Amino acid sequence: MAFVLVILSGRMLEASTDDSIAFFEEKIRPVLVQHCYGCHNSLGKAKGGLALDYRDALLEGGDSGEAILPGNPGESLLIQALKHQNGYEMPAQAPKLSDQVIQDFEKWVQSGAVDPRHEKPSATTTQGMPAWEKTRDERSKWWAFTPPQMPMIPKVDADQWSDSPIDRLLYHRMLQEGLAPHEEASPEVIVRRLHLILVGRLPAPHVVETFLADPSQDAYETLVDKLLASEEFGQHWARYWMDWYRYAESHGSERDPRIPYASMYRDYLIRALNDDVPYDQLILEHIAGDLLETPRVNQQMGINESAIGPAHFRMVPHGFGVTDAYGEQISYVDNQIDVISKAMLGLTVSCSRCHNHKFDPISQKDFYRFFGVLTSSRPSSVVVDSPDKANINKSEIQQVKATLRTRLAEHWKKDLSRFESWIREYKHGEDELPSLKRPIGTWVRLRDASSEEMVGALQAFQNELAKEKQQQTEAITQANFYLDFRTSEKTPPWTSNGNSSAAESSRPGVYALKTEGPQAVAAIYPGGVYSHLFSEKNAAVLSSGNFRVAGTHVYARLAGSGLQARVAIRNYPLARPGSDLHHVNEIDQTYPRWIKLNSNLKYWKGELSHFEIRTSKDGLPQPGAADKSWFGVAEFLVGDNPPAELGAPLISVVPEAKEIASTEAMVEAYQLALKESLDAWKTNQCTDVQAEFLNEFLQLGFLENSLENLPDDIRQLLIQYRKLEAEIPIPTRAPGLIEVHPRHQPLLIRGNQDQEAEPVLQGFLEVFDEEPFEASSSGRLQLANRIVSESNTLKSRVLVNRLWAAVFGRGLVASTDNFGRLGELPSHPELLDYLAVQFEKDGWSIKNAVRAMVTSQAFRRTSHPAGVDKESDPKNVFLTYFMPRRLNAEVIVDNVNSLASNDQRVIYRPVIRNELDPFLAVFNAPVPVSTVSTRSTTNVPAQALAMMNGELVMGAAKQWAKQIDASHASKHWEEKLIVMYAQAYARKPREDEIESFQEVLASTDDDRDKTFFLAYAIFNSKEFIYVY
Amino acid sequence: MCIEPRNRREFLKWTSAGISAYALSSIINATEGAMPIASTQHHPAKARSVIFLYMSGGVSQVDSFDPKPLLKKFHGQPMPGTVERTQFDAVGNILSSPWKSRPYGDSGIEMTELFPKLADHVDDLAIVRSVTANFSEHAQGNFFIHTGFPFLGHPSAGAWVAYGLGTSNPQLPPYVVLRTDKAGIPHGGVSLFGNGFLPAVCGGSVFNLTGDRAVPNISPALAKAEQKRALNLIRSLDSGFASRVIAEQAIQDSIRNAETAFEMQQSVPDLVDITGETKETHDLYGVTSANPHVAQFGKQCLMARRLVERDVRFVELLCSSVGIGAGGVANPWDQHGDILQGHGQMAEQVDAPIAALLADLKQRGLLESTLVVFAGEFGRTPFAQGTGRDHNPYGFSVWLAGGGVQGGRVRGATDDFGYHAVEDVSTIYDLWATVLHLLGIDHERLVHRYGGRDMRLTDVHGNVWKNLIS
Repeated sequence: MAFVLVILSGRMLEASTDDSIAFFEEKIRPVLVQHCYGCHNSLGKAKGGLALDYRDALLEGGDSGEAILPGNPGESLLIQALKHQNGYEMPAQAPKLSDQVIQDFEKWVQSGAVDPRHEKPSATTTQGMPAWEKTRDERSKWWAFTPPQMPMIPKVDADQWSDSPIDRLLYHRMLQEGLAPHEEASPEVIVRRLHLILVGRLPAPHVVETFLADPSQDAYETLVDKLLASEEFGQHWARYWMDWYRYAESHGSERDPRIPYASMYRDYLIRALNDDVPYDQLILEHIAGDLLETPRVNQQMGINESAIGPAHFRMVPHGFGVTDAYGEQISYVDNQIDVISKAMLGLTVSCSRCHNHKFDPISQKDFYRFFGVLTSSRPSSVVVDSPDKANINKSEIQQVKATLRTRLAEHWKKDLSRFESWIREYKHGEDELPSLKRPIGTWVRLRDASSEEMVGALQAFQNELAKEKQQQTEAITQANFYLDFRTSEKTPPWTSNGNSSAAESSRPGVYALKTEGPQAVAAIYPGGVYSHLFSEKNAAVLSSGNFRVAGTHVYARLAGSGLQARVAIRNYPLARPGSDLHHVNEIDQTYPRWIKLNSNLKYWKGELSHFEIRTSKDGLPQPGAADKSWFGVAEFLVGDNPPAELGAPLISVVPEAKEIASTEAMVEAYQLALKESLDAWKTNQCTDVQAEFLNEFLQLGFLENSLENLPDDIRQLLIQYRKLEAEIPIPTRAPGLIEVHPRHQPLLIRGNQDQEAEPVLQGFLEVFDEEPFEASSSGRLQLANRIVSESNTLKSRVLVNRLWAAVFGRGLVASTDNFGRLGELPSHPELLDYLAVQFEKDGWSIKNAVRAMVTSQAFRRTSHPAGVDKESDPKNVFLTYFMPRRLNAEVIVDNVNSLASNDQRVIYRPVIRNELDPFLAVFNAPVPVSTVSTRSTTNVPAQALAMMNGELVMGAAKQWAKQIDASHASKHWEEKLIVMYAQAYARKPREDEIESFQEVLASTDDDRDKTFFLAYAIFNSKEFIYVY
Repeated sequence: MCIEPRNRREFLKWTSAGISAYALSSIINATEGAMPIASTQHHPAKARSVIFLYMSGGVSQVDSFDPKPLLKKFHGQPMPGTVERTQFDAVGNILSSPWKSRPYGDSGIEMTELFPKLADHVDDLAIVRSVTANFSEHAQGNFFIHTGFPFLGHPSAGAWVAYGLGTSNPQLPPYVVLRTDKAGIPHGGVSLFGNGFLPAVCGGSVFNLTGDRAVPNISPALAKAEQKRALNLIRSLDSGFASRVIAEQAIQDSIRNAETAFEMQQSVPDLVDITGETKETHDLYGVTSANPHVAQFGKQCLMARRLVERDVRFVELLCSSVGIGAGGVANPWDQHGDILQGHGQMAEQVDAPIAALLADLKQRGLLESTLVVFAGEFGRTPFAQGTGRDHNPYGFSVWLAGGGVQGGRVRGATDDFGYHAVEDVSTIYDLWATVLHLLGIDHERLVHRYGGRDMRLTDVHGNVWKNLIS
């Protein structure tokens, strides 16, 4: 670089050397660019009137005066702001820059603030902002994005602390900090503490006694194992998990619609934790449990556990009857992304919806990578039965029905000989004359016609039919969206979920059997997708690919019972009664016919939407009540022209019939039609019209359908079907997502939904893996695999840190939801890495990780203040003692209830967003809206009021006292107090406590009042709501 | 004193260990032992307290503060131009206002005669006719205007004000929501008043003014003497416990809380007992009105004054439902049908009490330091839905009075039909930016870090309505 002379605004003349320019370029400019230009530039945004992106502006300063005084860093506002002095703090709302950087700035100002940025930047130079990749790579040096390493485990010179790596790392660190661990807590304290931490319950007095009799290491470890193995472990720890995934059973907002089957997820978590399912497996299940090749099956319950995992995706808050469906979708997908990224990664990916992340190596594209994955799945109820149970008797039924079809066809063909006499005696019972389109129509309308009339009428009908066929073709070719469910090619794409026969399309002639009553066959159908070919109990959700709303009407050739059909806008799963914006069509129709569906295409013109049909109990927003429900669908059409119903007239089945001119010829034509149809039906080759033709004569009673009159072998087959069908259970359902074809979400410029840029290919965070997903499915399975892959440095650290926080009261990373730049640094980086690496080595076992923590020496330290040096480590970061803390709301309520012999735990109560339990809320149970992994423990008088005056405590105190009085009748209150102390505190009352009670109880005569008083006081005591 | 975000975080650590706090608003949140008396002042404050008159369901701007003569001319004709999506998709023809309009006051601001008594105070009002919201649905709209976000979990404006200003009365919560048995909680539920991720003390405490139990659990479950004895015993147990574990401060705080709670059992009933107010005051506010809706809203207005006198920072009032035209307990102003009767009776409910409140505050010298805000979650369409009007978030009116606001002013305008805001288009964020500004707070600097992000009431938006400030 050349030697340059610089004139500084006429104030100063200075020769800059290459060195000082190099210093600026190396140390100063990158910091200015990265941390300052965003808010302080000369291109439109100069907060406080200050621009820092070229020299003159910098020297001019801002509203507060000059930013720098070259040669005088101490007086320079810029330096004060970097140092957080005199009320200035820069960068704003961001962490203070490192001491090294600040020193560089001081040095730079001290030595004259050499600044080669002579030109005011133009927009085209984009302010010299570094490429995102460079920023990202710089940010990815943050500790959390580097792979965890198994640390050296230091040797320590203290017997007690030399066994477990946890203790060695902790002890070593205490020594480094000049601290020493406190003594071990007493056995009675430890046994209570262990119970509250592991199972959230108070220890039973006899357990306490046993442990006090033998508080050995062996006895302790046995107790730990026993508690880890108890059902109550999962009931306690699942609540943490529910906080991470903002568990709720309703969507909130107006009317607070319920989320069907939501509690399945809670029960799944409890079982998974009790079964110690490996954490990587649980992550896979949470993202894509429904897609795993080998799902985790609970044989005892007959359910596919894995498939319940994605239920949390459904626990989003939803607006009610929304008018901006895209905005709504962005808002709830943002919530899904926010929750999985915080819960699984300890990162705030949803902060990058409008721009690249401000502090972490997360790009705006990353947000839309996730977004594409999540909008390639749709909200639904899903069947979570084990594959065996879900598919029970299917192949058997298929076999029986195939045999039955042959036998019925043969039997009916033999019966054709009586057709002439049957039809000649046929009396049309219906009031209205049947249309010629109906199979029987030709006969009823024309049997008595003259030849000329017959020929004329058929000719006219044929012309009419041809015209309607033409119209039909036009309606389809001009349709804005058309789906033909009669072909096995799924173009345009559609998917089917559930455990029914709707998985694929059926050829014409497909038929259903009656499961009760005197008749055999329910109907013979045209080709299409049918859900009830095995049983009406089977669950089915049929869902089309996306289409843009255009045209005026929606039609479906549809049949079914208790079904729900709708055009869903932007996957919005709710509806608003009284408004048809999100109309759900509830339809009962025995045979597939074109039905106009209620929808509001004009309103939603241009919106991304899809068509879906659901069996009753799979309905959204609310399932119907019918265990038995089915649908059959042949075609779906969106357009301006209504499709025509072409029926199955005689002339469509037997083309020669259009020539007939006599009743005799007509009878013959009918016979031929039936014979050909039966032949075709028998070999599964029939056409739609043949199927409908047969069905008419089945329903009219010509084709024998009475069990009583059918031959024995046919009857036996039918009985066999009914037996097999009866064994099919009502499916077990859970909230979930269903796969549809992959979609790549356009990036929204500045997060604005009206400004879509190019689609972003689905993928994981680029800081971990830049390779986009193969676009063959929703991408959920690939996302799941990437999250548990080696490249992700966060997954286990985040989890073990939360387990640690639950056990020790504070995470090694205190910001348990945020491992990014705004989060806190780990207090014990080696220990955190040890736990993370060991966790994975140990089969991702949560129980083993927790066991290692509670069997550490650190866990068993006293919480007594004697000899504690609070000055050196006021927050107990180095864990020289056990941190006493208030119990979580649920644990408090469970303990109050259990002393009153009510063992129903709070975790089993519904969590309804608009009716959150006030008692739990006042003790800081979170509002279920985003991930919470550190609950606050505020102190407010409302807590005291709830304990003093609330019904829960009053009722429980009375009940507890009653029980104590009953089991210890005629005992002195002091003896009762001893019993109650054992139950509530796992210890004996102290002398001074007995004296306090004595003093107060002296004025009470009634013994029962005294016992109540004891109970009331204990419940209201702080010790009762503390673990220490 | 200027508390920067970092110091504020320190200050929060003093109060609590955590990040996300929430207290359901049906529970009283007073502050003893929970929050120091500290306030954020970025510049000198004009107002000390806010009274938020919440008109849930949506007041029709064209029938009240933004009259449009053109509607009369085009009455019965189809709405010209693009019609935005409405929630019920029942877009009728233009409906002229059943209420006449004329200029009022020295300022000559045009208003309809829907609020005749309030109109007498027009020279105290700053009317913003160009407010827009982002949602056409009640619950989302309610959350949006309260918190800046369309669903539960974010702190309510009252909670942010409490967070920003702290409190100087430890016996009362800094944010109180008034209701009666008739006036219920708007769609979305009590989370509308929640503290979100702010300290629990900031959350709205709902006082039900019907009957003698304004707040749950406020009535002693034991006889007073007995309870006192119990509390003495508990205190001695707790003091012992505090000396045996290393959490003394937290335990001492909760001991103090128990004592505050004990006293609140007396002080809250005293506060809500208005028998000490004069008959003139009762009459002025309409507490004695034969119309039960007026009586209950009058009681709320009177209570708002009493709370402001006691340094409560943010008081929110709720209307009762007259049961007309789809307006229910949660959305009383929601006249999709029969707007004539519905809005007429709703206006009658609030008109005299609000006028009384303004007059009383003024006469007591409190109006200068008390900012009164009148708003609903959206306005209503200029075209009909049957005999009523549908929701319209694209342009509606709110007004402010007192607390440093220049009265007799109008800001912004809607188009000739009163449909879209077209001049000085404003947002809910602007409203709160202005409110915070009047309280001495820079809305961009009132932040709380939550989940890795510095959260604000105004998100990343908000411009102060500077021309309305006196």
